[in-house]
Amino acid sequence: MKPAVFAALVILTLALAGGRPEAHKPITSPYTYNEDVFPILRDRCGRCHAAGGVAPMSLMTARDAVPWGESIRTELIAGHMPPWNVDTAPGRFKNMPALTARELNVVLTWVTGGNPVGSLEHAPPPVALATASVLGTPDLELPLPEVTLPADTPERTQELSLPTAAWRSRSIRAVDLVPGTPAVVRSATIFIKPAAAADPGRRAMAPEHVLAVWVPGDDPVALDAAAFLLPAEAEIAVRIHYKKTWEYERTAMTDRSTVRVYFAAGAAPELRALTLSFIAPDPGAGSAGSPPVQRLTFSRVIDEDLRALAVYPGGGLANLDVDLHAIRPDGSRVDLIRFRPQPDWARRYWFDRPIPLPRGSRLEAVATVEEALLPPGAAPARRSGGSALELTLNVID
Amino acid sequence: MKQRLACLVLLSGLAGTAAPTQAIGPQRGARPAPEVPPVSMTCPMHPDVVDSTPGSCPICKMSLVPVRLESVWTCPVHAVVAQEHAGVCPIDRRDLIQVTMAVTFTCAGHPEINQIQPGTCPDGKATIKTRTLRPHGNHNPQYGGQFFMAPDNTHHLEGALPRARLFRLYLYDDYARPLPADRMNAVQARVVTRETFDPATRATTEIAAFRLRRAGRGYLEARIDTAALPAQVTAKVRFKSDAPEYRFDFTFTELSRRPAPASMSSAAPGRAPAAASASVPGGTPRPPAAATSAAAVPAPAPTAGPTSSPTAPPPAADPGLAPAAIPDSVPEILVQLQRRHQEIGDLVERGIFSAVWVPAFQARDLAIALEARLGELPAAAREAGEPAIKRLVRTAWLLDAFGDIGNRQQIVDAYAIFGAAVDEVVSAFQ
Repeated sequence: MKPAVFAALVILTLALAGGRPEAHKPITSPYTYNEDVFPILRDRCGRCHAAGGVAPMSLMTARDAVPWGESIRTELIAGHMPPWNVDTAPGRFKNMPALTARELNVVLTWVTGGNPVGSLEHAPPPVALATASVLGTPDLELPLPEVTLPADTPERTQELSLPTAAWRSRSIRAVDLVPGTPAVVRSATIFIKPAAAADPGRRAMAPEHVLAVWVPGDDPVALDAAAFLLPAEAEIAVRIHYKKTWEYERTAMTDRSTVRVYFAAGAAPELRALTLSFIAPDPGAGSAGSPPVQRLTFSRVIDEDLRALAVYPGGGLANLDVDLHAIRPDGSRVDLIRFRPQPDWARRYWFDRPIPLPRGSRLEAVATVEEALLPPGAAPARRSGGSALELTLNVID
Repeated sequence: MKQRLACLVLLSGLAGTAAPTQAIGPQRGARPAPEVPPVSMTCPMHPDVVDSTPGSCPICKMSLVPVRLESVWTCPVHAVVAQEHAGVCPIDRRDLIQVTMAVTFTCAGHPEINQIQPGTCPDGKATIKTRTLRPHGNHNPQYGGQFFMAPDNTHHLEGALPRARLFRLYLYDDYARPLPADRMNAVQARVVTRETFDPATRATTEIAAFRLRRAGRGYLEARIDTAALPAQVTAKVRFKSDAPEYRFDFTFTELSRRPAPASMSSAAPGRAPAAASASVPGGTPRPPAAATSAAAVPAPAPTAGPTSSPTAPPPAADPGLAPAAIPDSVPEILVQLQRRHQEIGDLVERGIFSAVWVPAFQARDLAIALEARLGELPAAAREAGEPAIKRLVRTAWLLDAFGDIGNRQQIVDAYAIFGAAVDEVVSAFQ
């Protein structure tokens, strides 16, 4: 072909294809980033997927989000993100970041349908990471010691002691963590140290030793019908899991987080912890050569009137399908939670309203290993071993 | 599925609009490329069509456009990473996979500059090389067989039964081009005609399996012991020795015949020859990817209730892309939902996996319509219905994804969850 003809053909076809033939992907999504997708990503994902957030990428502009389309698709279809992991009706809980079915479909349609950006006039405003507390001014702010992850350390769990003089023998309605460098603070647990908390006789119905289970993007919940009570000699610690994303993998990172404490105004019943330890089946039960039957159960009748306020999983339940419910003495069934805890996303699920469990109610829980149904390309979940196969139910009288 | 989507775009006259790039930006730390990949010609609508000289697309007759293609290594999931050598994904530590990307040149601060020739930017600096993801193009069978994409998102394959007792497996790269000889040689594959599956242990035991050997350019074949139709066979394929083994479940209701080339007077633009040459009783075109058994593919069930679809697709468009008309009343929506559920079950039963997405997406749309009606329910029913609707929508997308890769057990498992969600939705609204 002659060069002139070739050039003419190139010009013609460039015009036909909008000037970007090499980047063509058919647009079939009626939803655009600016008009439809951004508000969903901002409200459901923006606490982590914004510049400086703990997630390895921002999704707060079309330019940021488009290259991650395939990852967004696999994470959403696999049900990994947002990491809420609950199949019970979302209205049952406080602070629910889950997508509705319509929102899920809008985002999936957009990522598979050519990622149209939409009108530039509707380009979204910059999104900053939120740091203000939803609970207002804290009664105490306790800066933690500085922690540095050297360039060659991608991940570390660090336990730090908290000064307690100012909050001994107080009733507390909330404890929260504010990360100093949000990009590396992956999760945290604030708890009363076991030495002070040891109380073997009341192991099954102990006062709550875990003051906060913090994950990025989670707002603190303030107790109103109950409180954490701190023993006078209490030692309090915070265990922070630091993890660098690939962006900072070879960079030294320093964090100085802060713990915020909110005191209760008056006396309130003490929040207690009911530990539900699962019973694993006899490992010899399966026939030789077959994979072990992975079904764990728990059952227990409670001998006093209680109200359930919250529930959180032990680390050993990661990637199991867990169903916790109660059968009341009148035979009625109350579904407390159906969920699939993920490693790194162990959070405390606060019921929107206390759930009454009359004396004589039977708590039942089943945890099963369900082969993960993963879309092509998704990484399979792995069991994290070694941690407690238990659930903690927070209750008050 | 992209093939089908391309078709609608063309028909709706959107072909001339600018498609956003999937530009992945200047590569972090990338050295300037010592050489620029050569210019190839490709179809704006069918990226699988690649030629070395200008011409028109054999599928839709559009003029080919220039593109520079480069083979690079990227993360299986995180396509933002692209490098010139094999290695490990810095994000999720999985082995990098080899893909083909388009190379263009842009300027910092000038995203509107996106050209295939390197040059100089307005500020006098050299243009920056960027790589752009290329969609999977043609998921249509070329030999009248059944076409699947491998879970590695790179390889494609087509199983065919050209004669009784002869199974052929055509292997393609990510552009649905025949796999080059060196990559063919690395493939280990067998075809299983009989096996047992123990649901308790989820273990499979093969009873009759035949090694697939290279027999011609781009395909493997094996003599098998199955002559009766319909035939269900499973190909188990390892694309190289250290790669995982994938399974692909094929169902043949008739012997595979290579379809005749499409005639442009009767075929819709964008339709592959394989699909264009076939028709379904009732005259409804069938999804291009489901070419195994023409007579076996059902036309989508007519939608009951008001047919208020003002935006009916052009006559030859893929029926699956037509938005299902949503009835006004909840009971009618529930009837439609159950009908889609049955259609999917029927397709799964008959092994027509690549058509599953049509009723699955219609069910999805019905479920989303129900989500808007949750407020009409008592609290207990709402609490049961809300998560079930979400599970239904998620598994509809999962069925779409699994339908492309053809692993029967995955589809069956997803269908079980989908079915349970349908039941829960129906009981919440009844």
